[in-house]
Amino acid sequence: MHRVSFLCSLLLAFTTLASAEDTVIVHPASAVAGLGADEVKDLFLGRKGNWPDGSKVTVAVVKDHEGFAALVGKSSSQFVTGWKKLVFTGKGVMPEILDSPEAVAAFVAKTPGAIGYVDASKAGGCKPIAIK
Amino acid sequence: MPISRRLSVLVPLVAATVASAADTSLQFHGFASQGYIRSGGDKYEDNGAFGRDTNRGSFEFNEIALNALANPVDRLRIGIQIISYDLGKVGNNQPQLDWGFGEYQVPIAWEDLRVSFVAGRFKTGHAFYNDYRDLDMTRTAVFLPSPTYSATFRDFFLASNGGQLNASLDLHAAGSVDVSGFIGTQNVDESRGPLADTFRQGLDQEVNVGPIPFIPGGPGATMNLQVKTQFDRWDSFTIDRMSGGNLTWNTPLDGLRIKGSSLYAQHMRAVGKFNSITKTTITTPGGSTVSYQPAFETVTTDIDKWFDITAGVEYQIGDLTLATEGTWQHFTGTSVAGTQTVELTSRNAGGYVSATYQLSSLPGAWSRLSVYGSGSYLRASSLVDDESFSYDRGGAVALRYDVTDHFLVKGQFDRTRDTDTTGDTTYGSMFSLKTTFDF
Repeated sequence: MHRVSFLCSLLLAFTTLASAEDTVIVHPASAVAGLGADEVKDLFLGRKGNWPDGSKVTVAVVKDHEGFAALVGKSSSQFVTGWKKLVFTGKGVMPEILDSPEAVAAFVAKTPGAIGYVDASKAGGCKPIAIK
Repeated sequence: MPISRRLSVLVPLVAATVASAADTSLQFHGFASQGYIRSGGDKYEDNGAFGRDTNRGSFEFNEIALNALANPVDRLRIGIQIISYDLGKVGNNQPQLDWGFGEYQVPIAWEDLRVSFVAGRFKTGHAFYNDYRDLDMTRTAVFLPSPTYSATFRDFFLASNGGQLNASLDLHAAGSVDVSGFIGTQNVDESRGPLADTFRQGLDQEVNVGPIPFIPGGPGATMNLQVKTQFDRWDSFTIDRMSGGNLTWNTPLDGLRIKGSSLYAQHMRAVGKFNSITKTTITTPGGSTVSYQPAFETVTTDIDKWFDITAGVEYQIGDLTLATEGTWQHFTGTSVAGTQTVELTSRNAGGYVSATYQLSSLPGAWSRLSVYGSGSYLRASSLVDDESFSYDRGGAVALRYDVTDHFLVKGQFDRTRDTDTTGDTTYGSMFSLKTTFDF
């Protein structure tokens, strides 16, 4: 009995942890199946502005998202400053910086070529992408 | 057509063209900065970069810019930025095209390589920070270190008109490499600006000769000559060709990048006028006679070759950014004024080290504070007459506070020690305060 209860607790904890995991999401119609870690950073930081098929990349992120900062290796202000450098030299269009993961998922779902990073449980109809 | 009128036609045209395309992701952004500068010491009585006596303080220090940027179709980006700035006697808030170009991403089957072609007026990418020189929101310092980011050659460094080829190559375990090269020219404002001022150097002067024996005047007669010249105006200021390139290695060590860049200009030619008046005084035992000979002459200065090579390393470790760059410049040319021809040759070298720390790990409002420190050294030699050297050394400390993500204030204190070609040393200190809004 105790063993069953322990296993249930473990399963519940695992489920909770899994739902709290963040994931890279793209537009549901995207042909992209997986991305390398460096490629993900390049896309979010504006170093790559096009997908392999030539379509433009549109970035959407949650404001002050700690997990995202860890993913790209930049603090929130460093991320914004980096994009301002691109925007004011004509080398990139500013990402959508939204207040909630739901808003990011909704934006990615309706925008072809969009990429975002949200809590996996809030990815909605977006396509989650595995990071190789 | 005046630049302001050309822009008034160009801006709505580009905006309308871009807006007419479906799903363009058209964005508008802009910024406005206002600064105050006050200096102390002999150096700034005629503050070369500023062109004003800043010892009594000046608010002639601002930038205002507005841009429109869009991806109208896949692989294509088009944009324009208009800037108006004032830096003492430079800029004077005349609106000008900062950049305006189209960029096409060339389709390449190899995923590790990305290539794009740019045409129009574009940023040159010279050194680490020239592209962001007017963008206060991208750094802590108010002024960038002068050995690499010279105010005199500002017009050159920032942007060029022509074509540019950019490539990025993913080297996997070895990091990545960004390469860029361009060829084009540059519009230089002949009526003002530090570059035009540099060309006129030596034209405002007074030369006294005598007394020398004046034999036709008889025994004991002498003659004194006083020649005063004064620059009048530049009629034209052109650059035949400008080219440059840069290579950045983004090393496998996260945050460490190494960059080398070069600029080359051919035939920077300024043609203008200067006044001269020669006062001749002949003194004989019987008295003195004075005569004046005015002249209005043409001066042609042609810098046939001008190079700038800059290399640097930047390392960002968390909230700390360390950077160092070294710059070497060289030019040769001639200046023909009236009947005199002067060979011009100059070399200078300089560099800086800087450290910037953002207190983002601190709680609350303190996380928006950053501190910047910099030291720089410049050695210049001019071979106009004989080889001679001058040295500038200086340091700066700056604080920046981000009130919001789009509004900041910053202040900087600079201290410099300059030794001119005669060995005289002057000291200067300068305090600058600036605030910037952007959207």
